[in-house]
Amino acid sequence: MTTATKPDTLQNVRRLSTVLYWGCALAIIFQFLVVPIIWYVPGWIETSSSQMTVSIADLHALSGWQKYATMLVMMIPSLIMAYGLNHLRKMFRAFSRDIIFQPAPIRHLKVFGVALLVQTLAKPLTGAVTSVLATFHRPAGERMLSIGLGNAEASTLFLGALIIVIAWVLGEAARIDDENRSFV
Amino acid sequence: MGIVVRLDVMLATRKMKSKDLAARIGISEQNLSLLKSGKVRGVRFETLAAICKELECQPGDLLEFEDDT
Repeated sequence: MTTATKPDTLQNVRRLSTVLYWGCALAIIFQFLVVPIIWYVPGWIETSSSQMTVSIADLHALSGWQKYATMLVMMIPSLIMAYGLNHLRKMFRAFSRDIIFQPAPIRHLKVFGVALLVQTLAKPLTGAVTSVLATFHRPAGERMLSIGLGNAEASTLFLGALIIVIAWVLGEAARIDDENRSFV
Repeated sequence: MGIVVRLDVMLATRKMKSKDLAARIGISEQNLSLLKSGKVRGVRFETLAAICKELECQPGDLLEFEDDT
């Protein structure tokens, strides 16, 4: 916090950060539930995920180890995102407690940016593995390796890189703030 | 660092307490204490001017360069 910052702005930062803290908590829960929902709630898949590299019918046809292995692989991007969101949640908690220009919340933002990049890069790979696992039981010639790449991935990669750059800039701001504090 | 703060000497010369000076120039006693002990990275011109005004002295009376080598 600097003396030049308006008290109203800080109050807004605190208030909005508290809301976003709980938003992140809900998003983390959603990340854990999204794959089971895709699997067990019929009809949800069409509107929820255009990233699916296999059909829901193929998924439902799976059994035994294939079912659980596919589910686990499908969950990898969600788990990476949950990890990133947890850091984002910690950042908002710090902001809501007036810990703003400090290294800790900035590090959390950087980790979120990296998680976003890793998740976006992991998505096509896990999608490909999912398609292999889901069609593994089919006879030779009908098995499939499907990779899904779209404009959404490019946008998310850009967003991840943007967040990392912003985190670097904030790191510099924190350093300057620390320097200002050491002046009397 | 080679800059030595002679604020304590000036305060003694002017028979003024740190607490009073801090109150007059509008900084905390803690910060003034840090300045007196030289444990700060820098002094703002604004602070330096306020101290000089209150103690009726020049910046050179408060700061001195000592070669470490």
